[in-house]
Amino acid sequence: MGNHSIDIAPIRALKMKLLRLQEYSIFAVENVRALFAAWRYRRDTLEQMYLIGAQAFPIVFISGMFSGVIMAIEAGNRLETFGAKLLVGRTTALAVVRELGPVITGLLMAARTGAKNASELGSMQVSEQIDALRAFGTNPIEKLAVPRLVAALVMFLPLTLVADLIGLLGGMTVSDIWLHVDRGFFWHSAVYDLKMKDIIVGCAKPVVFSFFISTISCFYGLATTGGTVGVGRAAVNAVVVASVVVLFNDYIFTKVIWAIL
Amino acid sequence: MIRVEHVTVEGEGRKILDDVSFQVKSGETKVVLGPSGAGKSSLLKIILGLWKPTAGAVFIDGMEITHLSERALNPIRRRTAMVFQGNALFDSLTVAENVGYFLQEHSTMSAAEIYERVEDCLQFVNLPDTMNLLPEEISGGMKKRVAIARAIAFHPEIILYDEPTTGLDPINAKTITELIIKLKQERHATSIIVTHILRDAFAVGDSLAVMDNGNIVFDGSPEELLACELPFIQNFLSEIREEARLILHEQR
Ligand SMILES: Nc1ncnc2c1ncn2[C@@H]1O[C@H](COP(=O)(O)OP(=O)(O)OP(=O)(O)O)[C@@H](O)[C@H]1O
Ligand SMILES: [Mg+2]
Repeated sequence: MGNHSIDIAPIRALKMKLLRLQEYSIFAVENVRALFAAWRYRRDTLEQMYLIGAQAFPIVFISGMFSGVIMAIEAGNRLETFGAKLLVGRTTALAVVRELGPVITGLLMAARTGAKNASELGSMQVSEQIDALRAFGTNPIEKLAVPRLVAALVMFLPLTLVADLIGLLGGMTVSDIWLHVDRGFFWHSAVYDLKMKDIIVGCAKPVVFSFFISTISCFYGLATTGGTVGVGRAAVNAVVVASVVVLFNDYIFTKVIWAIL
Repeated sequence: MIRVEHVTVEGEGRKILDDVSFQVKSGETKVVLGPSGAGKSSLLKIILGLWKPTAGAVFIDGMEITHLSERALNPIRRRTAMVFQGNALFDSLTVAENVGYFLQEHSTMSAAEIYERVEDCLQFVNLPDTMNLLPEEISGGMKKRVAIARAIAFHPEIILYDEPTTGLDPINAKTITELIIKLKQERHATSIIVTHILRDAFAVGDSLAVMDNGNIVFDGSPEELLACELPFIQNFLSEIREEARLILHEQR
């Protein structure tokens, strides 16, 4: 008896996980197929753009600035020991545009948007508002998930670009103050060394991240059971899974897509 | 017509509904009584297709809805309204937006027409001047009435009320009961009313069903219920038997 349960418990857990993954995949496909509903529910879409996009600018601004500043200081210090401090612009630009900007913004959005979506839809689920929507003939995916998805798809890229830009400006400023690398030189070397490939990858990441962050958090929100505790659990799961998926996707980008391009 | 045939619903390894069969004829008002946890709300959710039964079938006007997809269910849902036990008002929308939700979503009515209809409905449930409030800004009893206004706003042919008068003061409870009777007489809506209030049950029900433990233990006319010999029913009615007789007498 004891032996059996030890053998079977992990298998059952794995089965549950796979079932969840399958349900999520179906949900994500349904989101894509219903994408045009964003126009029908354009008021909701615009509202979501404001809530998950416009309102996130301050935090993205701050995190973008610090990532650029820290990168420039660290890289500058190392490079200076080799007498190569003039490379600080290139190094910072590559790191910020390709990795730091997208990933830090992605993780912030996984937390901010993920928690928001999962807890909003979760509360609606446990208070039967989702059932009420369905009873009125409204598809919750079209009315709730798609506007959030489209808002994220549209807004994450500009947010990331702002993070990139502010990061570069921050890096440029500290390089000037502490490393005495001329601002003009920093900027030129940064822009000169950025290739099209860097920019494409840097711009593709936020779009892909936004898809996963939005669909994962809406999926957990709509699947909420178990009252207030359930809403908390949905929010935690959404943020954890979305963050891991952001990091994993980043790895795929860096390792695989980079090689293909 | 609503027909439920041998419906069983299992949840967490337990039978919530156990081989339930009953029907509600067109234009009929069926009252469902029963102790807490008997499965009354679950039955309504099955009829709306919000939950799928593990066995059995549900027919609306002769069409089986049990295995329909959400999309295929829409035409039926657009003729059906439900007052949820917990109201389920959309908490990010104002009272007026809640009441007008269906019309906004599915009708071709203009904003002005919808506004007028919403005003009428709120008047109907005795709630003028709440239009621009959010659900969190109104009392529990007011929420219940908004939920009823939202359900009747689009003139549904089938109305499912889950405890529409629970938690209301006697005056508003009476208003709602009269409203339900009025809707039944004027619009001939087919309705199912879940209630704990036996007095209302006798006042509005053309027929009554009593549920216990996932089963329908009685289904018949009010007179038959009063005459029923089952110990469970006897017990259930003990408090109000005489009063019920009086109400029935007044009505006839
Ligand atoms: N989502 C759910 N999952 C699993 N079991 C549930 C669920 N909802 C209700 N139940 C169970 O089903 C049974 C019937 O619940 P239901 O809400 O239908 O009762 P009810 O007759 O409406 O009671 P009340 O008069 O208190 O509203 C209860 O025992 C309840 O524990
Ligand atoms: Mg109930």
